[in-house]
Amino acid sequence: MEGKKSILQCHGISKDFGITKALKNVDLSVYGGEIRGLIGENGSGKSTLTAIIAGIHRPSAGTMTLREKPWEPKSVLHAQENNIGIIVQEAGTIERLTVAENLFLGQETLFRKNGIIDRAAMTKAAQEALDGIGASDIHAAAMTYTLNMQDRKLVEIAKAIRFNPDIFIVDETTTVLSQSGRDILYRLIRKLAAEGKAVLLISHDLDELIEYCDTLTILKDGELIQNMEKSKFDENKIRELMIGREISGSYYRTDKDGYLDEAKLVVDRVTTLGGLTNFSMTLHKGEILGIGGLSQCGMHELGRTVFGLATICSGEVRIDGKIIRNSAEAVKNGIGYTSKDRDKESLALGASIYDNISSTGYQKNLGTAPFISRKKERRYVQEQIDSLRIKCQSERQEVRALSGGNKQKVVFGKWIAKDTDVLVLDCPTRGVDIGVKAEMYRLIYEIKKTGKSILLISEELPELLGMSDRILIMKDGKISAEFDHLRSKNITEKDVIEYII
Amino acid sequence: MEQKAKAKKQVDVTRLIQYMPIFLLVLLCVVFTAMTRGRFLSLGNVKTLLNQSLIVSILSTGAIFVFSTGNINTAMGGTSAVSAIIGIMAFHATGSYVLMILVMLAVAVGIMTATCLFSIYFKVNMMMMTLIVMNLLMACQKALLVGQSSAKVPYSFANDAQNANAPLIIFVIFYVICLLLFNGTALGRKLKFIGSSQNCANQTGIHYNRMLLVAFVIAGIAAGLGGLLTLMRSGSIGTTTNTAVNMDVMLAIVLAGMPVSGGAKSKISAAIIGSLLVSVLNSGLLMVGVSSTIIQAIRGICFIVIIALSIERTGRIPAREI
Repeated sequence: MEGKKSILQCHGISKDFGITKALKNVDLSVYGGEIRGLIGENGSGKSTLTAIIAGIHRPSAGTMTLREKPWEPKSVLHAQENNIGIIVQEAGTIERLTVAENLFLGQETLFRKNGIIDRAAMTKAAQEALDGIGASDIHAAAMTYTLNMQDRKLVEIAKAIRFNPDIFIVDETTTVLSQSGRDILYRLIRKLAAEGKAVLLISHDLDELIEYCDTLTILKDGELIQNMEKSKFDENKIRELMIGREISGSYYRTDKDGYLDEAKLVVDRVTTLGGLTNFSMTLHKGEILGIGGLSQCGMHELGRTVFGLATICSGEVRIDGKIIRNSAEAVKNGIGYTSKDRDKESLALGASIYDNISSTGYQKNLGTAPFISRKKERRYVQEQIDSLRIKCQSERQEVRALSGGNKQKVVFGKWIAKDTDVLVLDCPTRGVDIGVKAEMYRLIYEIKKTGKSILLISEELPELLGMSDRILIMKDGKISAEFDHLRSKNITEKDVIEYII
Repeated sequence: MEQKAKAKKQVDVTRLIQYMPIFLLVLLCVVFTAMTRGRFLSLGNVKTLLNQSLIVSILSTGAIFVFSTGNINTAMGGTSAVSAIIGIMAFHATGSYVLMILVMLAVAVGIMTATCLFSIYFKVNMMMMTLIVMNLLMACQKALLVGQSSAKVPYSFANDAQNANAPLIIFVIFYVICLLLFNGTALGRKLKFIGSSQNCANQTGIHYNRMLLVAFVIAGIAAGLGGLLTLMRSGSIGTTTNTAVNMDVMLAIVLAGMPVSGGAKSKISAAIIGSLLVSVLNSGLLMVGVSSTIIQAIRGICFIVIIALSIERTGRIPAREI
């Protein structure tokens, strides 16, 4: 690192989210003129680390220095003012504003003329910013919702660049970019590095990191494992450092149970607006079918499709030969679904545990029709609270007040109570601590044992390998690989990962 | 432990808030009785008061089905008046009261159904839609009366109905049916669940459109009956009859502590307690000598304060998740 100036230093950064330790005592130096890649599995702490640098989160412990001064960012804006720009994983633009308005969000006063915002000047400046990064085919006056994901990201990039960042952080952005978008980004980060700026690049794409980064920092379970110089880059070595973790005890399944040959749910040559292309698969009775891949590979869309939420262009989803057209039909025919966005989609936060769990049992709990038997309904709810050990004061407590793990248990509870034949679980252990995770895995296995089928969609490979009978790996809305007889064969993450990226 | 105690306290506060409307009702009655030296609680006044509150009550009962889903229906008053006028026209054409009542119900249900379907299929925001319908109905009310000041039925109709206590009987029957539907069957639970989270309701297999339509049909029946009750009270429907009643309905619902955004905390009892509160407020203030213009202002202030309070209370009382 001789001759290079360290812009930012992190000392002993730790971050706890509740009892989850996202980062443990991490030291990191960021140098000018360097493109540094951060790599690690989901939940390894890459995003948390960069979010702390950019003022999105506060560290639980540790200090930072920026240009030899203590650095305690208060907000993203504060970071921006200190020339730290970040492109986040999630959407960072507002749909109902024009591109130009998004670009100058919060800085409209730059264009104030006699108390009125000069929109023409703003649009012109925005267009120049877009042209500057090579994205001239985006129209600065267009409404942002008319843009595709890639162009929206480019708008964010243009916005970050406009602040002239000394440290430019790109958090898993390339997955939504096509080759042309990637080229723009690569050109930009190389230019920034050449100007002596620092770039932090987070990506799951190992080839990309190896090609563009000068240094790689490997994280695992919130700890910094190793810093690696370009000269020492070795793909296999990196993978091993990244994922070579031992699975302890009976956290996951240890059985060698198979599944029945009988098909339960069939996805037959389905193409959807949301990105599945001529997709076919079969879920058997008593099977846990794991679906893996990157976030944008179409696996979440598959979950929505099976549950009748996606817009199907051609093909059909059938359960026991019956076609599923919407979520009501899905529920009626015995499919349950836990969404990745649990709080917004799978729960009514303002309603009680009772209301949420009983929402699947109106039919089942009928006393003298059309009246619902309170006694039956109360039992329906109480059984789930007891058997899932949902921690609450009473069944009348609002779901909003529960912890993430307990919220997820309520979602599980509502479908288990209904006794659905097929359970579609989209990232069921997301934001759930290890203790509850183990309980969920036990539960999933128990459901399987009763002959029900489970579609387990997950971004975590260890979970898929540990729980599934069979795994489908998806890429670009299609199946890129299938691994069968998982319980008897010794398939490792290394075998699977190459089909993902 | 500390967290538990805190949560316990919160539950208690919520319970307290639940009983607030009843405290308020008693308090208002006591205050008005004292201020009028007992006149407020005289038999005659109580009777008029209950009579007045019946119309608001029956309209609120129907409206609560729509409100509980998080949608706002501002066309209740207009629907009741227009359906009543058309009913009266049917009576004059045929001379049959039975037919009149049937026409009133059919027209009211028709207006509500059309409003709901239009909003669903053309994706017009429901509150917008009902506001537009409210204004259309006001125009219809005037147009249908073609220059007359009111549409009338023979005086004996109202008189006989009052003597037979018909308004109260009609209300009680309708209310009991609604109470059973709302608290006893899947319908009420589904509507409240939609109000709590439309997204989650959809992902639990609840048909949003179908449920909303049912809610509007019930609101339509309530509006038809509301028109009938109005006619039983005064024997005629004028150009401005019931145009202000929408505000009473909304005020009743929020005064009784039901969130405007609907959801899990919706309750059908709000119809009775709320409309009693509104009627007590209206008649009490009038009796202590407050001018009707000022009463309007007071009602408006009440409304704003309650909405503001209920927004502040979102920590305990549900805000709608979209």
